[in-house]
Amino acid sequence: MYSAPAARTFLVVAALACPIGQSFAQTMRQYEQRVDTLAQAWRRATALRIEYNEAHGRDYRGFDTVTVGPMRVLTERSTDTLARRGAEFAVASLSPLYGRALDELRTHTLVVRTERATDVEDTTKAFVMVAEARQGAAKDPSRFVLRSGREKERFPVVVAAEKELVAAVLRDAALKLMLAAADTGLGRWLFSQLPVDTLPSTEWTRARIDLLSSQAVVARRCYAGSVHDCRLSLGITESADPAVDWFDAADRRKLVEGIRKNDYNGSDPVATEACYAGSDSACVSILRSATLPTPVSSNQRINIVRLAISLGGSGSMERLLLTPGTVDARIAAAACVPTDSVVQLWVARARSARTVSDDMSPGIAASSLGWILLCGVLALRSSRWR
Amino acid sequence: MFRAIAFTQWKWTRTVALLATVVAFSLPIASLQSARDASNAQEFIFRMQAWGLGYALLAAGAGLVIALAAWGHDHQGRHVYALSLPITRARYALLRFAAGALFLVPVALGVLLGSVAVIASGAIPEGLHAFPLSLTLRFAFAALVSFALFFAIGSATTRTAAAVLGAIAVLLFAQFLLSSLNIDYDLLSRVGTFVFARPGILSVFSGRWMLIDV
Repeated sequence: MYSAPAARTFLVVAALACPIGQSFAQTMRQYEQRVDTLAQAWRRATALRIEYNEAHGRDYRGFDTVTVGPMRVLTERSTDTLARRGAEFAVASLSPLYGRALDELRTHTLVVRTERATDVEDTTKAFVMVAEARQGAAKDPSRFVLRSGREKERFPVVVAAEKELVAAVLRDAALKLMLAAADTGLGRWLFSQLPVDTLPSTEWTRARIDLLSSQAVVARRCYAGSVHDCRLSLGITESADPAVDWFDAADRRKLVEGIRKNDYNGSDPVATEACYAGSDSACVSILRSATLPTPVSSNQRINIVRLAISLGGSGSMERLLLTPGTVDARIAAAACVPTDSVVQLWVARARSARTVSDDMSPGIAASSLGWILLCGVLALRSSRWR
Repeated sequence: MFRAIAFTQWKWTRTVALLATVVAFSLPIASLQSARDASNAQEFIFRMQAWGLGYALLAAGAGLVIALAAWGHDHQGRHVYALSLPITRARYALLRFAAGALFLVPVALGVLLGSVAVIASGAIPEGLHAFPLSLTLRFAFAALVSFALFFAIGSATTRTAAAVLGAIAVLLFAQFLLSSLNIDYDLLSRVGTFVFARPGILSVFSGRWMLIDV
């Protein structure tokens, strides 16, 4: 009596399930075939798009030429206004500091053209590509040139077609071209960045944290006032043996511990054990074959240059780029004072800078008092037991 | 009159107030303890900052409990004691408010003393600065805002309290409705910004709470 309905239900479900199972399997195969077909179509479309972009990127015959000062830009009709305004902004913003160094741009041609961006969420926007149009075959002696797949366009950057963005990218492209033309050593020292303004006050507290939090004793000695150690920390004075010059024995041991934690197999276990046992020479030998962290971040090198800009004023970056010689000589030329004075000022400002506490401000006090008063008045006016 | 009110209110509140004071004193010391073995100044700051939420929660909690304690006995006694006094309701509420606010003072002092103890320990890395007064002031304001808000809610009629709760429920329901209809509008986030961004009512709680900074 009890099992009869259950058995009947089971049979019905089984009868229904068999064809469903078959049709499900069939549907899955169909789906797989459809996915394969779609994937093939997608691959063909992508190949065609790349081919179109490559062809489009190499053909500038129909392009207009916009010339603003030393900057020459090839552009399509549709991006003509963007390119002109961008070039005007770039030249106007860089001229006071970079002066004659901008003449380097006369030997280059930039290109601003429309670009199809298919890998962004917002497909309603128009996009443009800003790049350098290379005249000859691809030969690139600089290690700091960002390469793309296109042989004739380098430093390619795709941005939304907005005048501020295009202007900023054109300015950055101009900076890259100037740096690529400058001494390789300077480019390496600046980590391929050129500043465009002086140092904001908020950077000083970061410089202090950088110095105090450094793994290298030279940075901490620099904070204590040693100009020589500041020069080592900033890489102005090059070190022949950073493992010895930048770190003390305690630093070296900590670094080796860090290396062991991250990559034990890559380091010599015997030397590592000897280092732990107190052999500083073993620590040194391990660190000499390792990639060492710089005493301070690359930002501080840029900040030294930005400080030199504020000291040297107009034409300071022109002097930095066009003065032959070491980084030391270039900084001194840019700032119009000896490099040691720039470094001393940098460390003095880093030491004296003090952040304002985020905890309390007149705004916090005023809004809090306002709400306390409002809530208080509401409480007094309540009709709870009237 | 104030003395009498403050005295009776203190008896209802003292346990919570003293407990909050002990926690307030301990917070800066606990944060220092957690940051003591930091390998550098930056890590020290991060570890100290992680305790910032504790100050905000303590301020909110202390304000809430002391505000509710201020009205608790009146509600239980159906306000007979208050009605028997020869003063207006507004004056009575003002006395209760002042007494409650007074009991937040030891809690804020706890934060100040704890912060001073941290500074006196000499464990702060060179080059970093302590901001004990700013932190204590912020804590005091936050606790007072929380106290005033819940004091106002506690003093309100049942209908008002229901209206506040109803408004919150409507807000949640509206967000649920928007999500169900696939309308891309984050109502809760906007209300949250309105409340927590300056000059919102809870803006004093948001942002960094830093005893030690650069």
